[in-house]
Amino acid sequence: MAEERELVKRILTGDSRAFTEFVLQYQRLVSHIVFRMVANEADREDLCQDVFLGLYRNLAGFRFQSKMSTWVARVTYFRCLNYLEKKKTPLFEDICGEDQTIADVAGNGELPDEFAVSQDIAGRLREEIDKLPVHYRTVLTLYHLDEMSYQEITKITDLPKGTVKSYLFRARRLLKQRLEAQYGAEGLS
Amino acid sequence: MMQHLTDDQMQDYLEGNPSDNQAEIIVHLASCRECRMAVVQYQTLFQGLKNDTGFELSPGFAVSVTRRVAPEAPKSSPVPEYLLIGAAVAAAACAIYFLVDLSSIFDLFKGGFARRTALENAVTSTVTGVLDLLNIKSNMLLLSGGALLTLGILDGVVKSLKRGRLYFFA
Repeated sequence: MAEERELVKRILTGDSRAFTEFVLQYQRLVSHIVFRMVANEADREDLCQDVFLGLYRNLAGFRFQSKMSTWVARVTYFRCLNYLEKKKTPLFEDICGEDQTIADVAGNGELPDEFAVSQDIAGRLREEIDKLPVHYRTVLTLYHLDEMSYQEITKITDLPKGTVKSYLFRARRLLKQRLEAQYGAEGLS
Repeated sequence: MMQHLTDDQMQDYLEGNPSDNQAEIIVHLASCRECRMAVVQYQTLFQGLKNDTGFELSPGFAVSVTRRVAPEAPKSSPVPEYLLIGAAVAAAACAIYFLVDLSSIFDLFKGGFARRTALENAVTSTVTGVLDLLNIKSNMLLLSGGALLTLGILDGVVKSLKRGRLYFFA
């Protein structure tokens, strides 16, 4: 925390190197969220830049009442939601109900030959994640890639803890079913 | 004997969430191949999610973002721009005081009964002073040269400060 305060202080006094350090420190987190939430590859890096510009402009107002990473992730998450709303991208809640299965959500209209193209599980997993609803992708990323707790994810997304857990469990179950359908139970284990 | 584990129980188990029947779950996993296999599948999935890649930004991303914020206004500038403007105004006032006879204007503030006369005198004197100054070509040239030089120096100082320290001036 003391190091973060010092870094912020240096940025606010106009030290450009300090801001570069800040970007290097948090670009992984920001890119995880942006790349997961935004499907359009052409917009992703621009959006990451916008996030950092927004963080820079609001840095003076950060009071260290939460971890810096939580604040950075929160700003990124809401910037992405804003982007998706502008692009009129339907979120999961808008298009399907609680009881829908993986086939309903992810779609299974691909031909067997197309399945054969993607041989490795990691690549296939990424494809399947991209087919999940935005909130599912986000909680999966924050929990597994950025190793955030339920409490932190709650602070970032403003979703209740129960909802975060429900999204996370459902997302994993969907992914497991989908991969199992592709590789078989033995192939996945 | 315990029934097969649910998906939620398996995920809770792998997340390390405490459960009321944790011991039963462990015993069941030891004896049930089907559930054990399902847990291993979840484990593979957990590992895959943790090792996910494909989020690379371009190599010069941090530098490029820093360049973009560079022209933006600093919120805590150590030498605010208004100080420079104030200094320039003060310098201009000193130059006018030095080059133009303003003594009649100061008489206005000394009080007395002949304020109107003093005002007339002040205006006349100031206008005469400025006209005298403008009539002298060499002084005009000197004045213009001085003004341009001052502006040039101030501009140079501001630019060099901006280059030297990012966000120094608004």
